Amino acid sequence: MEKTTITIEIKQEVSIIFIYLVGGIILVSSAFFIPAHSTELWPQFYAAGIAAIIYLIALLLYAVRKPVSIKACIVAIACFLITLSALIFSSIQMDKQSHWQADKLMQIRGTIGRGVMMNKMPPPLFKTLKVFHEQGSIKKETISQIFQRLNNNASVGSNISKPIYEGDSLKLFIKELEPDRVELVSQETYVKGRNPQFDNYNGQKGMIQEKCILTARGIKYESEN
Amino acid sequence: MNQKIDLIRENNFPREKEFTPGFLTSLILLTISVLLFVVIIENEGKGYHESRAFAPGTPLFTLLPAIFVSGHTIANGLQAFSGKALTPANLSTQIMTLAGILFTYIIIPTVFFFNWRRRRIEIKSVSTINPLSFSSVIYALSIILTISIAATAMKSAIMHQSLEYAQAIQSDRDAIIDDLVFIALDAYQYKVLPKGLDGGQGKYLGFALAPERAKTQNGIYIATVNENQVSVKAQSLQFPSGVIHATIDEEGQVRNCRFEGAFK
Repeated sequence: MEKTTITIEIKQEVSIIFIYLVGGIILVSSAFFIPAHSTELWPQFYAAGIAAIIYLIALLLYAVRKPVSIKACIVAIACFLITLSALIFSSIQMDKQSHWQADKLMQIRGTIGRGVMMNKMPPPLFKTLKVFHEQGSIKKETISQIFQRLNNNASVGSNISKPIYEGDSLKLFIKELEPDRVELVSQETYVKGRNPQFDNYNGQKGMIQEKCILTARGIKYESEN
Repeated sequence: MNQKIDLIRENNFPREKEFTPGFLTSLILLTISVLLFVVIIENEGKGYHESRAFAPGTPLFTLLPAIFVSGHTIANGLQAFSGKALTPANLSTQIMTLAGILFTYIIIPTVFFFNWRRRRIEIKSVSTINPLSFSSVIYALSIILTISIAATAMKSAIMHQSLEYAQAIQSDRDAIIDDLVFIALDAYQYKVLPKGLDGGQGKYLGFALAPERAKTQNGIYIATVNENQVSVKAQSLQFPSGVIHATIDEEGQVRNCRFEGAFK
């Protein structure tokens, strides 16, 4: 009968596993719910992550203590560090990536908005320009008269955009109406433009706004914000 | 904690008494859970960008709990896209995120390290370890999961790079289409204006790209003009293989876009 003396009592070891598990779960769960409720989940994730790293270091120190050999300790610590680094790196990457994607979505929304504006603003102005020059050298009507005639006598401040689908919020406002000049502006109501301090036509601040100016020489486009 | 209690171990010491019955039940449940998670993760591995984590309210378990958090950020991005107010994560998303963190950062490492330590000590004291014993299976499983976590983390980093590249191509393509719209507006204006105002008097003939339109920060543009339409070839500066061929019709609309190279 062979007798071996070891320094860990198995039943105690089992109890320690449970103590560690319960302790770790309580620690990480508490940390997760500490950050104030916000629209972001990242603060909660990072708080729990920091608590988990503290727990893992404690766990590692417990696992590699004597009588485990130095060589085994080094291998375990190396594996631990590689896995932990990969997790931290990937989490930070995902944080950056998700915010980048959310920002991209708004950029795309802005591009779509500007595209729609540039698609809808020029046609009524081109129509006016065409009719104006079709009069020949003797002009019977001014640019503004033609524009008003073609757009139900719209006046300064009117919206000349007709919604083409339910929820179509695009507005084309007449900003200026002079005999030889018509100015149209179109803006977004929730998509931010380049300058957050820009005063929009409807009184908002910092939203995307595009402008078209019609004269006898043609149309000038201005991306105001 | 004083754990130095000597234990006399004999060769005929019954191994199944190492664990209390309750502990064995717990471990069996844990193994079943782990296997279940592995099967789910296997399905999810087909591409986490397409995974349900990105659709709000339908979370899926993952070895990378950051996926839930990313999903929530993107869901909020979609809310902002539609002009809706941003919302905090719902309780199920929070619970699934927490469960993922606990599983990945607490349960797997704890099972792994305790098993690892016990085996290291047993190797020193007893040379016979049954590779098919329950604890060996648990140990192997925790190793596999640990490697999976590291591999998934690295894979997600690589996917981020490729996604950013694809997005850059898409943005460049959109910017070039935007430039084409402005070229079309210029061309149509030329057509509408009379000859006295340097126009084409109802025709595109004579239209030429203004220098600021022929080369922009996005690309180089070449126009071929005939009476009723203008053909434009646009080549990207950022992705030189990316080419768009388009036609500006009689009404000044950009039509028949054909994409080549990187824009395909």
